[in-house]
Amino acid sequence: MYLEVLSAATALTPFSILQSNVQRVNITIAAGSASQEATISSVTTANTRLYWGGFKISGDIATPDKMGVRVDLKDATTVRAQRNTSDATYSITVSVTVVEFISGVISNMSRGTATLTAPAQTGNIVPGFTTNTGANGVEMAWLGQTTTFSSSKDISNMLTRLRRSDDTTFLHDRWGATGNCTTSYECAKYSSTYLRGVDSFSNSPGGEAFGGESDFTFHFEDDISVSFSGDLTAGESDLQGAFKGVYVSSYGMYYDKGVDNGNNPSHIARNKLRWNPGILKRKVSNADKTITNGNSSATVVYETGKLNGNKTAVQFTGQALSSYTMASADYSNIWARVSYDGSNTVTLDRGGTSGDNRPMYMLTEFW
Amino acid sequence: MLMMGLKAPFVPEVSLLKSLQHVSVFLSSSYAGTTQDITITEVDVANTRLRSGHLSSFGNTNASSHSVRWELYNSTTIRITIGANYAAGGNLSLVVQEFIPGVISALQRGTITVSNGDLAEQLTVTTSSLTLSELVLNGLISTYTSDNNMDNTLALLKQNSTTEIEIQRGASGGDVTAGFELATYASTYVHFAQCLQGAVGSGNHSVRVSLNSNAVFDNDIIPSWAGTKFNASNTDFGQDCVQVQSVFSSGVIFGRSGTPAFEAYAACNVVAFKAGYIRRRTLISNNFFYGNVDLGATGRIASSKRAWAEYMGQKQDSTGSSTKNRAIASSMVTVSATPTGNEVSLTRGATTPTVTNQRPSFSWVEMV
Repeated sequence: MYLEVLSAATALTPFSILQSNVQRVNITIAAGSASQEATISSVTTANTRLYWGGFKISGDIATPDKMGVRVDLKDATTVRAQRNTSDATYSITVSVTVVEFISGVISNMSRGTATLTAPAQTGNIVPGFTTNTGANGVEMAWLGQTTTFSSSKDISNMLTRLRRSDDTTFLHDRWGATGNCTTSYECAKYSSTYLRGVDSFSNSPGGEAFGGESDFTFHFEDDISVSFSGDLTAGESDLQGAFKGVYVSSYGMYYDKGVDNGNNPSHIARNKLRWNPGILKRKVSNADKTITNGNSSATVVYETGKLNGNKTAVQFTGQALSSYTMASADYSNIWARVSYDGSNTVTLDRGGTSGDNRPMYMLTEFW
Repeated sequence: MLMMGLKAPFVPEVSLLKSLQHVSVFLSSSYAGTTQDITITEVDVANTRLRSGHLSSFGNTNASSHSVRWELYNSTTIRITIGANYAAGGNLSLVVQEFIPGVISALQRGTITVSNGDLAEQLTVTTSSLTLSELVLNGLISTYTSDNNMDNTLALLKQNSTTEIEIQRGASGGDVTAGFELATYASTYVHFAQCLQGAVGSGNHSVRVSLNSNAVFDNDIIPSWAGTKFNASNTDFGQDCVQVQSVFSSGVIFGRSGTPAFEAYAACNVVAFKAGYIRRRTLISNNFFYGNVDLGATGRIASSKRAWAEYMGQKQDSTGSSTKNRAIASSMVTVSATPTGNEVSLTRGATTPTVTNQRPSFSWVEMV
């Protein structure tokens, strides 16, 4: 079954798989607060995905328990953001896009949180349905994490990753073993009517700055998208080698750390969604825009009047950084966010202004 | 269920294509030193570009035995010039792409030669643009016959300035003449064009080269091939082969299979059209040779008369430390779109000597 019908005159009749206009949500957890909710137009939760847009902090938060953040679709009209512990001075702003599909696109949805209790470094998530990656692909999306860890700035205890283990299980892991980590997730199983499949991509790039993996499945450039499912770091002192992003082309997926940092691994997980032709109108996988030293933001301005803001969503796909020492970093320079204005501009921003920061993003416009 | 999301019929924007012709020709080894003319349906030469599916070669006698270049000779003729040392025989695939008036603002065709003993040569061209021009390689003729070392016979093109282009190669034996088209596009239709070169460095598989702007949609960026060269010190033609692996707003990624001790290069152009003119495109660089590649698009190609495939280099595993010549016969690849547009055909002239994991790269585009 094809969603795009060819007539003798070759006119194309695309269908939209969106039930409602996408909703862009920016939530700020104020100084002194640990959570904040945003009201959205009502959606059917079983058909809805939150797209992670990253986050920023307003200043030099001292410990991961105050800077880690997760979001969830609390109910049909509420998106919630939480951190483990409030910070007296600094806020967190997190961005998500609410994408509600028509009935049938998502055949099963499992959302919730998973917790790693110290000293656990791994755990399992069982979404309750078979996670075969064939025609009926399953996307395990990471929606932030919180932690109780408060002893230092060692974010290896905080950062988590989700990746497919077998047909019934996803792995939830981190590098560190101190404090408890809670990760928010959405696990969506898609109908093959709309999606050819999902590739659960996880890798542990060594020291190389850049690499890729081809998938040997042919598709058109606009029929693929990628979603974030977490990174973790081995705790190397230089965050330049610890952070990385991904971008996708018809070839497959590339990971990019921006620097060759020896042999230190830098674990990564993403989902690559292979849509049937006619679902996505446009895609952009951008890895080439830098928030430069001295600036807190950068913008990418697309051709005027071409993107339909009601159908266009943006997702954070990772980042490459200048050199920062983990133990002493001001993380307001590091955590970054991507947002789309509903017209033709994508903004990349952070709380601080120091060093180069290259957030990567996926822009998808549905029909 | 599907009807819930039914939208009004999509009305395509104006097509930039006036016509598209697919041409395939067998070039016999007996054509050495001749020109062969192919008659095409009449086009306006000022608005027409040739795109290449490359040559698949049938033999392996010397490094110049595959020398062929092509040009749009007049409004109804493609002229193919075959080198004096041509001996292999092979198939050549071309696409004649005629735009509507106004898309191409200037177009210069010609040849540029690097002479025996030189690694590079420059040519003054009619003033073009560094941000709107596409410099395409239309084949190579080499006079080198000493051995099969293709670092002498392969070359790439680059644009140095608005008034100068350059041909480069890895070794200096014999003369090499390249055919070229230098097309400048109107900014009404194109965000930018860019001639770029990828140097896959020592010990590396791939390199990413940024575009002039990343504020373009991935689907709107069309590549074209501008040649390859490799360092004369390398001894493995297999691992020296470079392909264009990805083309999107994050840049152009060039890749090869091995990690030789020396750099290898490829050059290509990208033309970033404004949104709405490209219906679909892909670049498939990970298909192990050979045969037909099913695009998985049965019933999805609106018009095969608006779709084409284009060669974008190739990569392959090692062919041996002392045999950079051996892979020649089985490594020349032709790319062509099938009439339905749903498949792309990859062909090579010979299957021996065995080339392992040969992966030709091709761009496939359907314009509105």
